[in-house]
Amino acid sequence: MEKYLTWYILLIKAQLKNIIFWISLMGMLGVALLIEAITLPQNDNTRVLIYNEDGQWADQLVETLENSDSIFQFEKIESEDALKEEVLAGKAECGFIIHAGFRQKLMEGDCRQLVTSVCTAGSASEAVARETFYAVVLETSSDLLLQKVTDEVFEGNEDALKVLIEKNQHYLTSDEVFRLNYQYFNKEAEKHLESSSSVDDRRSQPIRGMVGVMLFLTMLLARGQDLRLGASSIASNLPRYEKIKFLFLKYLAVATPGACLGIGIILCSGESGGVGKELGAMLVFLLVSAFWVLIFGGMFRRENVYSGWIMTLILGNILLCPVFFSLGDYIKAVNILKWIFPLSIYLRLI
Amino acid sequence: MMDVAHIKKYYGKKRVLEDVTFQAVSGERIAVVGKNGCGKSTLLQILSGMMKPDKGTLSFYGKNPFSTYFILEYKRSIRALLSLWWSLLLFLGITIGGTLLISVYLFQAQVFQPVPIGVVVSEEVDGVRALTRVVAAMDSVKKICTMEVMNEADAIEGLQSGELEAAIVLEDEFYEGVYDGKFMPVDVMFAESSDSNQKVFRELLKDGVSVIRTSQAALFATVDASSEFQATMSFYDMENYVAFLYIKNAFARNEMFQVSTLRSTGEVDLFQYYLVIGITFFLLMCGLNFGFLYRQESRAVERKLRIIGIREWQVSATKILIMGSVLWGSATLIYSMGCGVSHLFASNFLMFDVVTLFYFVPVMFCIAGYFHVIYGVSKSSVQGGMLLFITNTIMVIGAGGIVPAVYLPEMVRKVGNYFPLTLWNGYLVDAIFAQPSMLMMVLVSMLGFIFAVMGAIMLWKNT
Repeated sequence: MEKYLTWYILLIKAQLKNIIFWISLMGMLGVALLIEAITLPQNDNTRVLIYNEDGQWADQLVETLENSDSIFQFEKIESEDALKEEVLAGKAECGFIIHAGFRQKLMEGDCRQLVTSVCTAGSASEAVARETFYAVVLETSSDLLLQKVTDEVFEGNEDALKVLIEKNQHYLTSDEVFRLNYQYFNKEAEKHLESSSSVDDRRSQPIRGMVGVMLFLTMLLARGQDLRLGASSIASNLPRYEKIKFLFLKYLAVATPGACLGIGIILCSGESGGVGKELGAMLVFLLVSAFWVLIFGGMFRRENVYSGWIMTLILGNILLCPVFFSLGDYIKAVNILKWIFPLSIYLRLI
Repeated sequence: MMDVAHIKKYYGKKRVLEDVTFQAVSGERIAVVGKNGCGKSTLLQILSGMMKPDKGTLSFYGKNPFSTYFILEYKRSIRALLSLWWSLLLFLGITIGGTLLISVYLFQAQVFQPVPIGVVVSEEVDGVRALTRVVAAMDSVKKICTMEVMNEADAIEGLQSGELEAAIVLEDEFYEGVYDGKFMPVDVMFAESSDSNQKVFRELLKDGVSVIRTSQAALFATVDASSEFQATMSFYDMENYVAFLYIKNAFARNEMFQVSTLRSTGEVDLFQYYLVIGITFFLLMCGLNFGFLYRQESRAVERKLRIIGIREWQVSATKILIMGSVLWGSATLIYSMGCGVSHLFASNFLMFDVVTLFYFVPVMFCIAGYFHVIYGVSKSSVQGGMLLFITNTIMVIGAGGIVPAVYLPEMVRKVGNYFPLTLWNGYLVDAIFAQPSMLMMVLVSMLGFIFAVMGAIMLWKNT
């Protein structure tokens, strides 16, 4: 036992002197940081930005929108470019640019192209945000329309306008005009849907997945090195069973320092399941992966053929296990096929 | 055939070989006979490339050593790559599957799933049914919900089973109420849910109600005011005037908005974008297969090649030519397959154009130059493979290969703009779907040249 421990320690030391190890550590960190920085747009995004080029009246309109009882969070923004950038980056569902002369044109009854609605192909509820915007504009500008009514019906009588506005306000806040009665029903399927969505959330784990991929790649490359060295490698000069044990320990050793950093990265990310769980899962992953590489690598005799399979294996792991997106959602067979890779086991352990 | 012409060799002032000229064909056996120190070993060392002659040339197959080296290296590479065809095919399949998956995933993330809504209307009331059809056909409504007319029992069952998100109950007198301007409350039944799509539907409903309430409040206020102030028109005309004013405004609401749709993928659509990403990703990862060109054994041979007059730049050029031509062949194959599939499905998504194959040339050699730098920097093919994988991964993520660059932080985006992959992607988009500009071609070619020079220097230093 002591002999194997000595081998393991010496192999780790050798790994620490290997420049590839340091490159892979930096790469792991860089990839994790990049993944952490990605912010995908969500179809339940409700942030709506408004840039006002018109005067104070439009400012009041924006304020009304900001305080309105809506699912959309209307926010004023200081520049058109910032608005476009936030919408494009998926940080806001859409945006409205209120053009100069908005109020004047409304008063004149010319409603054409007063506002630019900025959206992306992914702004699914932009049309509804537009309806909300319009509903508030109509309510706010109703006084302007009532002015028109006064001019036409009451010959511009100021007293009539005052009464009109007052009564209009009264009706708007009363139950005398059109309204809806809401009723709610319990949904029997709700529980089932909730539990399945919680499984969905666990499906892709980009940071843990990429850490696993990097460690797996390190082990695969270590096997490639043995194939290249051939008869001059240490392992090839050992008796058969000793050779297997040595190779197993070697694959474990080359991945151990990276695994330590990987656990650190995962713990710092939002994907962590706690120190104990992470350590346990990583240990299982390393053992299974080392065994896997031992068997898979043993099937090859030529280094270049083996090297060609490495990238296919890595991409297969990223796609099937799944690291970023779940292919199993579209092709059911993938959900079974993925279990041949140790990465799937690792991603399911937490 | 080996052609030895006028070889001379001196050790200091001592002449060892003087004007040695002969030819040897493949399979021919030649004995070199002579006294001790007459130059037999020197001659063999020159023939094996271990020593350089002071004068004269050594050619194989009647050509110079470089062309022989080039042909042999090319043959070796083709043989090595052919032994990988299974994994390459699988890798291509996985790449296509992966890029399709990402583009479909992102496409679906952009699509709002319409909420199923039941509209409870009595079968005898045609007017309300007609009104429902008009509302259901409105753009903003179609995007958010699908409406189906049904009876109340079915609606409740649908809500409980989760098939419906909401049901609107319209009474038999609803249409008459609308016609007379006397609205009555409408019952809306919801399935209790925190689903965001249902919330959006509720918002749409609220907006519609708000518009009706605003119009109705103005109408009622005008009617009330007419009892206090003298109106210039009849009661009927006055009602019509106010109703028309608000209805006209409401129906013209779409004219109020000028819609500007921004694209996260620039000028191309999501599928075009990911097609190009898929091609570049495949080509970049193919770089891992070229490790055999940079193995330690190859470098030992290269040291000897210097002796027979093959310079470092020639070795570098050979490697780049081999990698570039393999990449070009792969890109051509993928492009042709894409065009074939597009044609098969009678789609004009991808149309084959021979010129595109010429446009591929500079970018493929530029990518080959990049591989040359990475392997040149590395001390072994394994090290090069790892470095290449990491660099590729960082470039693919940073240049918007997994998700479009707009979803990355500003700093990453700025750095990503300087990644060669960004240039290659832009160039390939133009090459496949339009025509790359002359500036773009010059830029790609220049970058390729810089890579080639850098790689040659690195390789020379490491050999």
